Amino acid sequence: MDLQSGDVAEEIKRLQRCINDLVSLFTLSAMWSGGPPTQIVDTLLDALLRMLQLDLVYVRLTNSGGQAPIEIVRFSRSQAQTAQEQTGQPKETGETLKRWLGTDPQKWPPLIRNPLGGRDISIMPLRLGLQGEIGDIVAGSERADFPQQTERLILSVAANQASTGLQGARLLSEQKRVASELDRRVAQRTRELAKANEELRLQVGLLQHIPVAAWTLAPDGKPDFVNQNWLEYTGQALDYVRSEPEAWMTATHPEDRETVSRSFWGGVRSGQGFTFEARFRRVHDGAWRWHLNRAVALRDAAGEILRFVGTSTDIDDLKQSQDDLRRAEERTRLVVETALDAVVTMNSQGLITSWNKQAEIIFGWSPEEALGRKMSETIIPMHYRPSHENGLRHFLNTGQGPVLNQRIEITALRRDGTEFPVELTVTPLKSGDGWTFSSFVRDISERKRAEEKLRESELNLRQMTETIPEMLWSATPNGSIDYCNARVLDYTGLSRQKIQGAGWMKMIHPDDAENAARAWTHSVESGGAFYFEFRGLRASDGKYRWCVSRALPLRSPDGDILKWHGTVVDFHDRRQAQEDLRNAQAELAHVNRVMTMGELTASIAHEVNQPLASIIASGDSCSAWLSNEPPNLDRARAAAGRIIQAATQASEIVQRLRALFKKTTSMTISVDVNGAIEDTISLVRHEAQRNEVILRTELEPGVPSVSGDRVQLQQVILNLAMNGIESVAQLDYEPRRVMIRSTRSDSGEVLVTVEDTGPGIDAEHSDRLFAPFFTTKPQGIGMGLPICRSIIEAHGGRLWAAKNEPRGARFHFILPARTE
Amino acid sequence: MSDPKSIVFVVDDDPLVRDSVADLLDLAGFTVRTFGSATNFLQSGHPDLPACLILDVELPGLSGLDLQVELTKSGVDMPIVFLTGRGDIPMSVRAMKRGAVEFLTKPFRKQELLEAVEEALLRDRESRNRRAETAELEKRLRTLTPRERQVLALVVTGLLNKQIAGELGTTEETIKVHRGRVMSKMAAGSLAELVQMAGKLKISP
Repeated sequence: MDLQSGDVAEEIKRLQRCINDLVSLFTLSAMWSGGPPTQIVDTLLDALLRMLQLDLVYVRLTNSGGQAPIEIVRFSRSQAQTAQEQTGQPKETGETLKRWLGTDPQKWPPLIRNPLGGRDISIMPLRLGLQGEIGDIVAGSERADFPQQTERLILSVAANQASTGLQGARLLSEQKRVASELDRRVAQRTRELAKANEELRLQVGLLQHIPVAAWTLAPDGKPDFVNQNWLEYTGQALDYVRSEPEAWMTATHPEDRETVSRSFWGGVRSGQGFTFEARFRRVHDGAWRWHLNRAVALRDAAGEILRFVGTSTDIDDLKQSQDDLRRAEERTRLVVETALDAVVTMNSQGLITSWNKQAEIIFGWSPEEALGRKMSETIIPMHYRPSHENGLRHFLNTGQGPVLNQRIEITALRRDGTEFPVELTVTPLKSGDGWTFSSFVRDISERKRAEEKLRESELNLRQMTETIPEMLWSATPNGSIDYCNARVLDYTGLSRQKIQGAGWMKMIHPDDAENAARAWTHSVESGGAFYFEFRGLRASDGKYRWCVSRALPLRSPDGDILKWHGTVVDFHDRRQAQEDLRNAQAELAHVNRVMTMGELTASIAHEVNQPLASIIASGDSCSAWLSNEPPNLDRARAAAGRIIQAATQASEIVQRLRALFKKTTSMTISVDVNGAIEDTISLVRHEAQRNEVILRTELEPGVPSVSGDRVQLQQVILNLAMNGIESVAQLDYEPRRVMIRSTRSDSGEVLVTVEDTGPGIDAEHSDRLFAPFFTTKPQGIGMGLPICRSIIEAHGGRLWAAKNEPRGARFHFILPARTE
Repeated sequence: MSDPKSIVFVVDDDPLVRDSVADLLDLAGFTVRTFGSATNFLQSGHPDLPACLILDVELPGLSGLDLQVELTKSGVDMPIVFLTGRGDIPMSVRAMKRGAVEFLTKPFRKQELLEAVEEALLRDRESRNRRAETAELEKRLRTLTPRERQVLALVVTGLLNKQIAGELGTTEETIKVHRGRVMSKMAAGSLAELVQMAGKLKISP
């Protein structure tokens, strides 16, 4: 600019004006302290308007609270008609300005259109605050030379002053705000604290009365309160407890002190509180009892710990029972582990929840492999799975489990896929909302095998008893028949049902039934062997035949009778044969007697004398009756009749006697010679033994039969044998032997020899041996040998005697074999 | 025959023999009753007459010899005539020893049998008489007092009255009185008679 004198005075005036304005500005700023920002702005704007004769001045203040900026606008009088308009519509102004100028005032063009209309105005934006953080000022004038340097200066200074003022105002207002906030907070805190203290007092009061030992600790862990319960329990005094943080620990068991200390301090220092169990001494009996000690931190609103509050509860009994429970559980576990049965538990989902050692052994899954797996997929065979699932579901729905709580035989699956028989019991237990199913499984493969073997052997036995060709039966210890084989049923014609119990009585002859029952009852009661001969009814021909039943008891190792086992044998034929033999023997014995002298003559004599006596007596009386006065013809006739009868009797006797000695045989049958000899021997054996004579036979097997009268032939053998025994009986040297031989001769005939070691036949008697009435025996009649010869010759044979070497006699007879 | 004087029993199991013998005896005038066995005979009662028994030895069941023993045991004194078809000596000896009248073997002669029966009946009569007599004597004896009995016992031993008195500790006079009473009560005519009576009664001091 160019400087002239007139201009200089103007310039000086302008500068003076400028300095005055500046001073005013500085003065303004002094006024601003303590006032709100808006006051500052107002003052500033007014001052600027006046000073610089602006047409427009706009301020926008940023709002620290994030709200919309404060916008103030002032228009000069010339611009605005009314005061209101002077200050009005800052926002629109701002908007307008912004519209024209963009948001960043520093980029606004120096010249813009007047928002209120009129000519364009030149504007000068200025920042408030170093970075415009406070806001912006926009001064505007219609003057073309706006802004001049001095104006620029003034605006800058004003802006700076405003900035400073505003900042100061802000700070002040902030300080005020903070101060009031602090006041509010302190008040609140004080209220809270008072409340907390009140609560604490209440709590402490409560603590004093609750029936457990209770205490509070300061945040540093030092006990500041312990209730009466504690003091009485431990016997400690309050002052003592409060004297030191760890004073109360003397009430704890020495062994637990370390743990206690650790838990305690750890909880206190971390502020988390603590929970531990320790033994405390009960002062009144000195007992150490387990206590549960718990402490929690009591915090204020800021989260700071006010106190620790805690309790000590005597849990000794609980611990004891816990211990007991634990021990019981341990025992149970042990039992389950060592049980011989596999114990497997399953939950409602069918998953395995426990698996003992035996389960591992039986099934082949380890516990790790089995637990948590579905039971149906591990140990249940495929074909049972559906019914298992169904059964489980059914039970869960209805509570019914037909196979539960009982022993069932079923098969199970081993890990390797083999199925095996098991005995299973499943027991359901309610646990919480669900169920636990305990399964006890026993591998019965061995038992099944044994059962099978037994069945087999029983089958064998049954087959045997059914096919043995004898009648077998068995009875229960009380005598009731419970089994008989097919032979019995065939023989008696009774059915199995009919025979059982006492039905067997039906087969016994009525006359033998009572004795049979008695004998059986006796055996059953005494345990003695049963033996009974009876007549039994044979169904095939309806005849009674002689049978014999025997039975023996089967006893247990203790001696109790378990069963009776018996047989029935039809021995009718044998018995008959025995009876026939007895009869034959009796007859033979009789005949033998008859063969001896006295008996024979007595027999004959007696038999004949009877009729003779009648004849003679009746003859006498007959003639007497006829000689009677008068003759009694009736009586005579009767006598005569008696004579005839008696005479007939006598002749019959004679005939019989003759027949005994007749050459023709009376009964011709096939006689087994060896059999006849043996039967005879049995008769004379006793006699031989009595005389200490050895009796031997050498019978050739297969000797042919002969035709004849068995009794007569036996007579002959008997006679010869008796002769031999009698001759040997007298000896006083050895051997004392009689030997009977039978052989088949070359010509196919039967040769029988009876030899003895006796004195032998005297030479001078040898030719009269077979003559009647010849005997060397004092008692003999001498009829034996002749009769024997007579019998043998009647059979078509020969009888002769010979010498035995070195000593004795031999009598031979030969008979022709029977021709068919 | 009415009012028989005696009776003969015949026991034989052979009817022919039974009838023949009965016929024979009947002819001879005896009253006969026959039995087929010893048991039948024992079971039947018989009248109180002189009787005898013709008895076969060989009887079924109870033999003749057994019957003899039985009868003796029961105190029946009936005389027996044995008949036998056998006739061995030991048997006959036994029978006779046991008191049989006769032992006849069959066939017997009529005369043998009749004589034996006569003998037997005679015996029976005699024993019956004897029994009656003894009964009478016993009756009389019962009338004696105990003292009189004592006196009787001593009298028949031949003691004098004086001696008897001494024995019994009483006087001769008393004894004389007793003796007189005894004599009259017993109806003995003499001492000898009394002695006989005592013997029959088997009285001893």
